[in-house]
Amino acid sequence: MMVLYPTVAEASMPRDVHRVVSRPTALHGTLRLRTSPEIVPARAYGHCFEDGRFDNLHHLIACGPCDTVAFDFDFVLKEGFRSGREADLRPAVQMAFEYTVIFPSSSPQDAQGEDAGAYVRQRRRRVSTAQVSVAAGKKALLESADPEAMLALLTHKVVKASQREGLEEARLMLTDWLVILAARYAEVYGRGAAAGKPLLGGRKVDASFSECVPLQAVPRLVYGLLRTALLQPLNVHPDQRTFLASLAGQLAPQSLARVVYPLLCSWAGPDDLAFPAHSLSRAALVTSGCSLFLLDAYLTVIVYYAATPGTSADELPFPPPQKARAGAARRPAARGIGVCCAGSLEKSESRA
Amino acid sequence: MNFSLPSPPLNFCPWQCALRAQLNTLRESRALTPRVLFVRGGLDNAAEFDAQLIEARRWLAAFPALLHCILLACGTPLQRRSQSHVSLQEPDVEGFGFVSFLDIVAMQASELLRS
Repeated sequence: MMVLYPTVAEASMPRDVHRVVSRPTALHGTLRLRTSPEIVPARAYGHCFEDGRFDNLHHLIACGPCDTVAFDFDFVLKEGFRSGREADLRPAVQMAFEYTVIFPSSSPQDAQGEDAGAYVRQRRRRVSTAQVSVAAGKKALLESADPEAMLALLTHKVVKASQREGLEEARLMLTDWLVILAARYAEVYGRGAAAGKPLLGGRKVDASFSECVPLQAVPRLVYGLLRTALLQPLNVHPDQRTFLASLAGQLAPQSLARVVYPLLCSWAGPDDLAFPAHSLSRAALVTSGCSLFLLDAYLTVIVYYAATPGTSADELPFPPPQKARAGAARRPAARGIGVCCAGSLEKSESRA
Repeated sequence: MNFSLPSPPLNFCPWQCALRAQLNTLRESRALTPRVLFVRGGLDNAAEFDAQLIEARRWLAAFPALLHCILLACGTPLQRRSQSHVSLQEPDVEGFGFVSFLDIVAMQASELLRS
């Protein structure tokens, strides 16, 4: 597990180390996929590596409940799935995961004898089978898409491409992917170059996927991915890019979506959630009519209190009361809170 | 282990409230503890919060005519791929903002459909 803290003062290493050692961990994992004859596993993504001798066998050194690996599949035949299949012959994927766990011994003999406090090592095997339906057409395929899963696979592919061919090529590949998706969407929904939203120069295609709800999140996720440190060529420290690439390789799609496109929700008050998701723009803050916002960017969570014209600065205590800082100092694993004063570029760090 | 947050030196987020409960849930549920920042608009340095508002339009988006000229000069990404100086001609996503980014994608998709 790779972790990069912005500063030493903001490092939450004691808590993070405690979480890593206290969470359930699967060691020496081996993962094997079996599929229906029409498809074969093509590539694996995430913190796993292929076995050199056996096909479709992957090794995971250690993983926890939140760690994720991804696979994509190739068709064996050019035609894809055969048409006219029976309902019980839907394509299926079976995953067998074998791993070792270590846990405290609970047998009475060990508890009373010399082996009190001993640990037991156990090899376990989990088998999971998933059967999926084949989409009836292009429209059904687009409408059954999972944008977060798409983002996860895209991120894996783009990170690999950036390491192999460079950042510029990876950015182009990602933009091309979205352009091609928009073009296919326009074909399926009858919004080709002759109809749709008028744009610059009279050209028309609906790139916001307004008629396909599952795809509506995709442009924002792609745009966010282009803006992350993963794909920014300038003003990004290589350590930050490496850390994000490592993090993206193990995060679940829902968490990765937070990294790429943070979740901004507005609160009418400390107890009243007003709206669960806003677009990440200043205009959204203004039009929400709220003054309290929670922005969840996975690695950073910001509580933002927008000053309204009627709010006086005197209502909020500044500088922070001493007793609040002293009270927080008694917490051994608390995080640092940055307190900044308007008009000053310097940020006073306090170990809360 | 007590995962509760330290008391912030601010009064817009008291100890016993749903927002605080949500913050604690976020901190407890993640493999990596997130940094928690409290920012008051107009009083604190909100640069880190502003940096997260990635859809905001930047300077180039304020000049549609200039934007249009640059878009025409750039061409589609599929065309650019075959050219040698790719890095010089890629549109700056950060400078365009999300709405302009959508316009670029829509325009290039139209070009793709016509070709």
